[in-house]
Amino acid sequence: MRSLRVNRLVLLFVALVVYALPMVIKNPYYLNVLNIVALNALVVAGLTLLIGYTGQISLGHGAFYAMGAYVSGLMAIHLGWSPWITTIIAMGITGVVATIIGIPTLRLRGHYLVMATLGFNLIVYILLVQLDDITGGPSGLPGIPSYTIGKMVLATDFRCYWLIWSVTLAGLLLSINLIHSRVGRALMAIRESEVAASCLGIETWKYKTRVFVLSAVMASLAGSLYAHYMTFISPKTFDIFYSIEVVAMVIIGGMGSLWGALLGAAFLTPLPYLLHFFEEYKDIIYGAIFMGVLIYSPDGLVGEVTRFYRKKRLESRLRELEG
Amino acid sequence: MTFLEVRNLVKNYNGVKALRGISFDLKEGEILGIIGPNGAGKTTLVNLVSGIDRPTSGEIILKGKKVEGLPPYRMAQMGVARTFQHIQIFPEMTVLENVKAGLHTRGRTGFIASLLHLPSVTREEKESTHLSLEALALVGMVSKRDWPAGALPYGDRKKVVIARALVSQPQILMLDEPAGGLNEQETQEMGELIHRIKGMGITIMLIEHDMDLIMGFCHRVLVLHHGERIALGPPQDVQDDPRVIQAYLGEGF
Repeated sequence: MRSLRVNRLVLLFVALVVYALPMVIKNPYYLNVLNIVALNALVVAGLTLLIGYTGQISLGHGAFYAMGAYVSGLMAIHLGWSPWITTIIAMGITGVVATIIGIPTLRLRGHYLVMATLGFNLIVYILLVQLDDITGGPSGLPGIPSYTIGKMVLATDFRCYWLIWSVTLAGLLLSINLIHSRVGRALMAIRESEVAASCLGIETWKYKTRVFVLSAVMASLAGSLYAHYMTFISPKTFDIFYSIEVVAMVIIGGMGSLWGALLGAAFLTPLPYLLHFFEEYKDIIYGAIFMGVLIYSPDGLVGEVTRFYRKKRLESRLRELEG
Repeated sequence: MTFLEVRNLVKNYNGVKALRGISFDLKEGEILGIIGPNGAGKTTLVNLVSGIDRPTSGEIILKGKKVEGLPPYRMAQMGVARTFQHIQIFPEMTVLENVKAGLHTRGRTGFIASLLHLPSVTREEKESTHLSLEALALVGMVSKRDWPAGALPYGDRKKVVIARALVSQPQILMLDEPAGGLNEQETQEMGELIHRIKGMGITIMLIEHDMDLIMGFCHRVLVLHHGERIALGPPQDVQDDPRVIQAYLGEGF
């Protein structure tokens, strides 16, 4: 498996860059943006497996992100359990909920999953706002405990940077492993032709459900990390627009590649901060960039990078032939 | 030994009678040709046997087990493989990946093992690459193993999907118009390929319009017309059957 090795090398390189960055960037504001990039990248990596590799669309991953944040945050506050434990419990609960949504909708061919997840996200958002006795309502849930390692509290942007990026890189590694395997080929086969896939013995609904649950659990993990990192959460973070934003990251990064997940998150996460000066025009600019990529580079940023690389290689080969 | 038995198979699509009670059997190692004018119900029959469609009534018995109405992945697990008239290649996967996907039923690696890339995964990957290259060698496509399948010319795609269906060493292979859309030379190559597959002892159901292929390879031929069986027998007998001639050429011949 050559491409598995290549992808792992790229991951190693990315990891070196990621771990070297805090030596250059000391400003906590920038570190905070980078941490959010990593959390988004984790959600987007799961979504890339679902959308890019399996061809199933979800518009409700904001809700799974919310479940990770609120379930883990609330349990840590009220039960006093370690955030590490509550994070894992939240992943389990999210996995069960995703299974319940996935089983009936993914048995059918077509875009029923989009509808179901969209509806689920709306329900979760309304619950977060209305159940203010539990969730704190629109004004949010403060006082969520941070992660601790021994006596060290992971309360600063710098300390959380190491935790969050390590988890995201691990998530990317597992995803790379997955796509270079029998399971990965089954997922791609489902995307390309569900009928042909099932005639090869692939239990399509089972694979679709499992990858959907996996992506939901990854979003839940990112949500828990977010909650215990920020120590404050409010429903606004988890509305339907977040779900749309992460799907946009999948598409802009390049659907057929996990590196697209990273690029999409790295490109779109800081954009609102950068466009901050444009005030109300920022949504228009955001939309224009989105349209521009879709029209001029439908295979996303990763497509541009590989095209550039291929062209260079071709040019150098031509030079060799001439020289 | 009777391998596949089809009894009174009926299929209605919203009142359209695609199959009106078809019966035949298939012996182990036999090649059965299925011919008939367009709309005769040939593809419907393959869809029912491969589990894509459920029969309205009737029985399909595979090695003594009733299998009608089972989903396609169950049929594949029991060794029923097929190709499609419209190819259904996986265009964005490489040629090698396409064929490796055909080994799905042979593999065991699950989600957890794949995520963690356990040593068993590496072993299985090596094994499936090896088997897939063998299948690609059989169809003469090894040199294009790393091509995106969607970039292949039509004739090559047909070879790749045959390798994809064959790689799992199915018990029965259903070929839906393998020579359809091919030029003369490609058709001849396809004939040679089917000849090699025949040598492997696989039971085959061959749907084809190319009469040379049908006459050259099939032990028996089943002729369908308007969803009914109008003839079944050795190629020569079928060719001379007045009902078959009438179905193809109309009355007055």
